[in-house]
Amino acid sequence: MGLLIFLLLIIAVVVACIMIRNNIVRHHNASIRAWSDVASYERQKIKILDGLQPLVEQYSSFEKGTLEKVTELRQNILNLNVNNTDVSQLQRIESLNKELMRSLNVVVENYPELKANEIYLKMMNEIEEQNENVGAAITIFNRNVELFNNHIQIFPNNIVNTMTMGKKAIRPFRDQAVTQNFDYRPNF
Amino acid sequence: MPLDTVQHSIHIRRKKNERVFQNIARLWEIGRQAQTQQDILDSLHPWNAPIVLKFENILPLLLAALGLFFMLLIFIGPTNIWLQLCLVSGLFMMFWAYISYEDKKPINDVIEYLEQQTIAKKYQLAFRQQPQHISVPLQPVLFIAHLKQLFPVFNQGTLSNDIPYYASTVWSDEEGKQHQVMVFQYHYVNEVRVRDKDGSDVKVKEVHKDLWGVFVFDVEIQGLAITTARKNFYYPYSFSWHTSDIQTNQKLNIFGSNEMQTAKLLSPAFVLKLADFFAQRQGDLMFHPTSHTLCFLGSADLFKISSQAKNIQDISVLRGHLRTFKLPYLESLQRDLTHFLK
Repeated sequence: MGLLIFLLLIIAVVVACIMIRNNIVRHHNASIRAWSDVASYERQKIKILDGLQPLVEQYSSFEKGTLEKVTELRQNILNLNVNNTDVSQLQRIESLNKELMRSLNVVVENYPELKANEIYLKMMNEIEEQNENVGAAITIFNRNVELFNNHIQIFPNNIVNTMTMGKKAIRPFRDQAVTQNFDYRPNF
Repeated sequence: MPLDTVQHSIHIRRKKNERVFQNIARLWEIGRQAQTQQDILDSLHPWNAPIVLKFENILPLLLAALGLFFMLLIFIGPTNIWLQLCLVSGLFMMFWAYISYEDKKPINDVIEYLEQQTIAKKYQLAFRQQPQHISVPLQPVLFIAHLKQLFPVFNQGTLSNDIPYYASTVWSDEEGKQHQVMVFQYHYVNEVRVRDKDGSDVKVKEVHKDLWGVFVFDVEIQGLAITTARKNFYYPYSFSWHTSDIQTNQKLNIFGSNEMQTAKLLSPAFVLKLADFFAQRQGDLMFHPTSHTLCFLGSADLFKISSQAKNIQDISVLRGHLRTFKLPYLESLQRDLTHFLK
């Protein structure tokens, strides 16, 4: 009887370990997928930027800075690693994206005819839509990262992770430009 | 107690109750004539008459108690002539109490009617009417049957599946875009077979259940079904889909009618909108594959008012109740759904 209970306990522990390991794998894969979403929605912006470049060039021969920003953003998106999380590169892209949107708004103020251009407006709508999706994809990525990090760090999952997989915690995305504007720094 | 005094007393009480009956009749008239919620509230103040909305029933209750006491005296000496007379007078008192007692039903009926009128005016609900965008008059039974067969959730009852109560309205979002909406109550009856302890005798028991929901017409999204319940959808929502969000996958089951369309539709922004919509809500949200119609069905009573009409004893309390009560679940659904469809 004692042996049976001992064996049952061993089996229960093994089953629990398998379930924990499987959940870690699931959460890790979900985080990878979320990151792929972020990268692919960023990549989709390239097509719009390719169309936007000649249009802005036509109207803003003196606004060299804007064109340079378009090119720089495009190049940085191409450099974003789709397979592995590259949060610092993503932060750079988001920062460039904001700068570009600001520049485009200035250009539009200087060239009212551009404001009335249907193709330009359509492109701006598409960029806004993509930006919305990138923002949402980043939110989902951060949510998944939090769940994944929790999953590999809480007890006894940390033991199972260390023994079987050795997954490291993923760094979530933080908007540096926004956090720099705050005096407050959380002490974690 | 001299009989004349009792009679006189009853006469006084009747006069008092006559005022309440006059108030009830006036309230019915106000409900019938009002065009807006404000019309109802304005008609209730100033009232310019006694504002009482409660029947005086103290005398009938006293008579009933006294009559019962007189009747019980017969048990002391059934053959005693005086006690037999007490029994007869007790019966008479009970009868008098019965005929002079005023039931609260007329008051409750008029309050319920005014509540319905206020709801209809405040939320622009047209009860038992088809949506405004359908210009051709339709048979209500056929129209409801058509809507029910569009979505595979109206077959939960084995005995009956009805939409007994519905109202049409128009919802506008923050940008002024209008949505044609039909709010409804879905009532279904299941037959449950109960066995006795012996396991032989079978009793058939009917279980009545209600769900509430909305149909929204002219919706762009098509071919998607989302549920918070642990259940599967079948044709036409044949393909199960997992989003990239772990939390959404844990809470929602998503099904699409076409894999390619579902993949395109479920962008990160859309997934977060779904997560927001279902954050405080349970139910099924379905978009028909072809008819541009949305259906939400959940367990929250959309017609339930926030404060019950308890202890309304005068017109000013009634006015306060009609001024402040809300349909909290309907308001919340309207806010979240219009935000979701933006």
